[in-house]
Amino acid sequence: MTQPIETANATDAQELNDRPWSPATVDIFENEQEVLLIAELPGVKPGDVQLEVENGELRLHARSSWDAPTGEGHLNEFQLTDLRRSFRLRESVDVDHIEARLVAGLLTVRLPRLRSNVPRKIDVAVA
Amino acid sequence: MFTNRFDFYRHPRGHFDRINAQMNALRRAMEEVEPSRARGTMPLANVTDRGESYRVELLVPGLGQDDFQVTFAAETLTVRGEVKVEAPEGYAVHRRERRPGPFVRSFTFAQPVDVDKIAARLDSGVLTIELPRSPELQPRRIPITVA
Repeated sequence: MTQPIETANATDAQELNDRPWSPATVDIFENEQEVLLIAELPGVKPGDVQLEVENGELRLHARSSWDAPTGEGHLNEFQLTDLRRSFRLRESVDVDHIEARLVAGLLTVRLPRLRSNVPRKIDVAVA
Repeated sequence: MFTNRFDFYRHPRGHFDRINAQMNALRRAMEEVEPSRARGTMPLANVTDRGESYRVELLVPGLGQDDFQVTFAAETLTVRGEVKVEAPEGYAVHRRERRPGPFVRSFTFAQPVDVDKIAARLDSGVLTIELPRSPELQPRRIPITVA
C-alpha cells in the first residue's frame, strides 16, 4: 500500500488563534484514482468549512456554531469546538479537482491523483 | 486510613502502597461510569436540565433519521442506532479513526416528563431531544390573598 497522505503536526503557531479547537476524527481511504478523506464535523454548517492546499499540505478548518444549552448540566461528555486537521500530501494530487461535500456533519473530500501518478497497464504485444 | 498517627512513621512504604491501590481503584471506577473514556461505539452525550425541560444531545455525525430508534418508557429515554463505517468498494484503508458498530444509550430522569411532547431533531450530525417536564410537577407560584 502506498502512503500518499500523512498527518502533519497541527500545532502550527500560525494556526492557533483565539478560538478553541479540537482535531477532527477522520478516515482515509484510497484507490488508484483518488484519496478519499472522511471527517466527522458534528455541529458544523456547510458554509463554515474551509479547505486549503498550500505547500503540499491540506488544511481543514471547520467553524462550530454550536451553543451549549443553558441550564444545569447533568451529563457533559462533549463540547463542540472548531475542528481542525492538517495532512501532508506526500504525492501530488490534482488540486484543481478536489471535491468536498458536507452532509449530516460528515465531510467527504475527494482528492484525485495526478494523471501521471496513476499506474498504467501496458499491454505486451505477442509477436 | 491510619489507626493512629504514629503508624505512618513506622511503615511509610505500606501506606503509600495503600494510597496507590486506592487511587487505581478510583480510576477504574471512574472509567466505568464515564463512557466517554471507553473507546467503543458510544456517541457522546450531554444532558441539560433547563427547568421546564430536559435536553439530551448526542453526537452522531453521518447518521440519518432512519438510522435511529428513539423510545421512551418507564422514565427512561433510549436511543439505539448503528454507526456504519465501511470502506467503499475497491478502496484500501489508509487511516481509520471513526468507530463503527451498534450502540444503545439510555437516560433516566428524576422528574416525570410529558411523553406526548418529546421532540427529536437531527441537525448537522447532532441529535437533540427535548423532553418537557410534566406540567403538574413544574413549580407553580401560589398567589397569597390578603383578608
